[in-house]
Amino acid sequence: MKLRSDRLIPLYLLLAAAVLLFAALYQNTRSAEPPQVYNVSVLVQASGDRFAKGLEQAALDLNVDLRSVTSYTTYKRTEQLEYLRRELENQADAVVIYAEDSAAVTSFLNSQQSPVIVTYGRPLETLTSIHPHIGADDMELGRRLGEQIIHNEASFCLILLPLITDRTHSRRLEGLKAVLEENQLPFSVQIQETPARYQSYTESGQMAVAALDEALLVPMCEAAPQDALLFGIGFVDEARTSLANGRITGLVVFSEFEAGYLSLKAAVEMVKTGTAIDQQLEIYDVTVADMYQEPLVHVLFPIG
Amino acid sequence: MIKYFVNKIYHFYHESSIRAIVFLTFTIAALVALLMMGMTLFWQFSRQLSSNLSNENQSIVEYANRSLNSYLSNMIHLADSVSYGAVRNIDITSPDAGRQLELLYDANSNLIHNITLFSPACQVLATAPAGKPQADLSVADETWFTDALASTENLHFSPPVVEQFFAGTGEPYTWVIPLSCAAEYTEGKTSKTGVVLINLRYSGLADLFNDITLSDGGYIFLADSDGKIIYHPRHQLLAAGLAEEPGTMLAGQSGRHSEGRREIIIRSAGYTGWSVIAVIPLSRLTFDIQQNLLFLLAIMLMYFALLIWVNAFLSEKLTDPVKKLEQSVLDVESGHYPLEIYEGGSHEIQHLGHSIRQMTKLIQKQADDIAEERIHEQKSKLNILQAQINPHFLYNTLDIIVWFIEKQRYPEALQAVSALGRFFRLSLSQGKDMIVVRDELEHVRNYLTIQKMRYKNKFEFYIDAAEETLDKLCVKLVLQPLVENAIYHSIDFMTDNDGEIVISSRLDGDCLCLTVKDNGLGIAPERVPKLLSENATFSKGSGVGLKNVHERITLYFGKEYGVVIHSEPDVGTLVTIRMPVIPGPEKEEPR
Repeated sequence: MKLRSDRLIPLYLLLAAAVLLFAALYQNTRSAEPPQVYNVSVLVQASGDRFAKGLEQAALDLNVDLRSVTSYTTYKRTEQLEYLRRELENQADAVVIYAEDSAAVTSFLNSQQSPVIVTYGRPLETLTSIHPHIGADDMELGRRLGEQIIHNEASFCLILLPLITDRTHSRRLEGLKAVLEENQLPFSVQIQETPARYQSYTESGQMAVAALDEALLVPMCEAAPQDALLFGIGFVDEARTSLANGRITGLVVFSEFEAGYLSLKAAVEMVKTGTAIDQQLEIYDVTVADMYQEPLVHVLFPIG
Repeated sequence: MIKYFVNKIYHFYHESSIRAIVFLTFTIAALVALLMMGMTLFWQFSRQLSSNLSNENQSIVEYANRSLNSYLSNMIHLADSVSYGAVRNIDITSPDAGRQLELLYDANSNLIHNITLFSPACQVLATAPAGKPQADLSVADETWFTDALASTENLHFSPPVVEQFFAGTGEPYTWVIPLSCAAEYTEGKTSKTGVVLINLRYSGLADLFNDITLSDGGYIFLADSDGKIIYHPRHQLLAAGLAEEPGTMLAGQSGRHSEGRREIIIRSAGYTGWSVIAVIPLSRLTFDIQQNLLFLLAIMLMYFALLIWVNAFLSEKLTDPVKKLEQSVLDVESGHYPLEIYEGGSHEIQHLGHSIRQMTKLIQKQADDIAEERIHEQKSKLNILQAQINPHFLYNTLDIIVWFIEKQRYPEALQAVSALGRFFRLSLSQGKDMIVVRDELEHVRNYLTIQKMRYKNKFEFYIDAAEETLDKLCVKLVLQPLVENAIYHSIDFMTDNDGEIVISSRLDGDCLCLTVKDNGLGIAPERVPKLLSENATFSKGSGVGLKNVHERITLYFGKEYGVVIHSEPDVGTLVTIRMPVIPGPEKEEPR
């Protein structure tokens, strides 16, 4: 029996309604599902809690189950590798890492199957898998430091390097040297010096001492002559007093809070979309006059 | 375009069936009503939901504001305690100068980072907890210091800062909210006015708001009257430029504001001029159309399907009787009178059906009457025709003719044959109902001629016709039956041979009168009325009959015309035929 159109049309409408209802139920089911939680491990040893605060804020915003391993013992290179292996075996969705031993970490990661890695600070340039990198331009850090030194009319610059250097330090040194050479300021590059050794440089007039690693700031303050102009890259809480009382003339810093936040954000983005977004951190010049002013007060002392 | 659509609708209305029109009208009207009702309810529901959510959020903001006011009140009381309770009683020169401050600090250490008394010359006079100030400490340019000295009666809350005046406090850095006021203290015997600085822990203030949650995605922050953020759940992100907070522009403007896709509720905290600002995404305040769109569409389609079914059912029920009635009318139009005209449906349709049935019955009856009348007419004509060819008259006349011939009385035979022939020719008159009076008189003359021969001249007849009547029309064969009656019922019974029949025609006004008068036996008076009413049965004669003549005349012309009988026994009878004067044809047809 052939149905009339006024019987067929409601049937079609009911069919369409059933399809839409099914789609709506499916949509509601999907929306009712809890948001995805990302498991991200962070292997970064940072001084202070600035980087950690950035991580925590990002974890809150992006639904990240954060596992932070931030302290090592003396054998931090070996330990970090072990932590890295463990986190990858524990099915971490991504790992944020400040590689203590770039070569070893790169070699290990290259042997793994498509790990999601975000590098912070020290790039892993030979890492084969696509990965985002978060960090400041080391050469620019060096250049800005050099500009501060020139601006303060030093007549000589003693550049301090840590015992173990890597590409980060070499690039900073390169930038610093470029500025000093441009301004024809004599300089000397040394590994961390003892107080006695400093005396040999004092005859050069107004000496500037530049620490290319934040770990050298406090030793520099302790060892350098009182009349020396102290400069450095990075900031540690222990150097706060020295900066506040003028012992440190100037620092070149970047926001570790931003670094932590953007590292985790890049990790989540990599997991979600496979897109590697590098982030270059902004560089700031800090002196005693503005360390407690905005925006530097938030760079050095993140609120939260 | 409008005219085009109007024309389309017009043509559709006139070309579509009533069922289609009813169905579409019901469906469109119901759909429009459904949509309007749905939209109204949706709008009302959304508005109500939005209002409820907004009121709920407003309550939360009010609660937050009350909490803040309570906190500030406590801090103000603390400041008063410090200023008026501890500092005023302090002699700076005494060894226990800072003891009162220590006590107050200890009682409020969860909320206070430190308490410091400064001299007008910016020297640290006392501090709790004990601490060593920075060597080159200079607070002279600090806003909290200058404001306190400038406005000694007020307390001054400043935006959050990193505590920077004391070394060795045991914490890497602490964000504090400076609360400063002028305070009198004693130095020896001199009363001076210094500045009390109470660094409130930022975390103490943050804890007031951290646990407050608004509608999903909403948050509360604190700003001063200049829009500078005091507390924000994403303070650091704002400072780092990784987030934006446009709501600060509305700081100080208490009330509810809409800004793009957000609602902003602002309440002012007492004394400080700070604003508690709540930001709620508007999408969370309304029925989320996007999320529920598929569901809404599904429900609407289901309702629409139900609507169409119901309307189809209703329109069918309503219009089915009309269609059945229409079919009945179509049957009537095509001539197929149905056994039953449909009489169902609503009262009006039933009434229509009943009326149509009555009409068809009436039409049917009228058609039957017309048919019956025609049949009757045909029968009458046939009777007349049959009567005209009465075999007895014919036989008798032929007998006379044969006798005349046998007797070799050829002239009489010829006269009889001629009269017979003319008689029958006039009887037929080519089938006409009306002939001229001349022919009618000729017809009856021929009849009388024959009858006179038969009755051996037992009577005489005379025809007296007015000239003006000869060309008038009269009903055919009206005189002969009267003459026949006169012969058979009157003259025939006369014993002497002086019978006389006079036929005349004259005009009486607008009436044509044809009379037949005899001097026969007459008719008894009681019989006269019956002659025109009883069934004509004839034992002899041509068979047409007096009654037949009367009926034919009244049928033609009406009851005011017809046959009138006057009779007197033993005297005679006068029969008058009255007809209207009808002029005859201009040209006579050849006989």
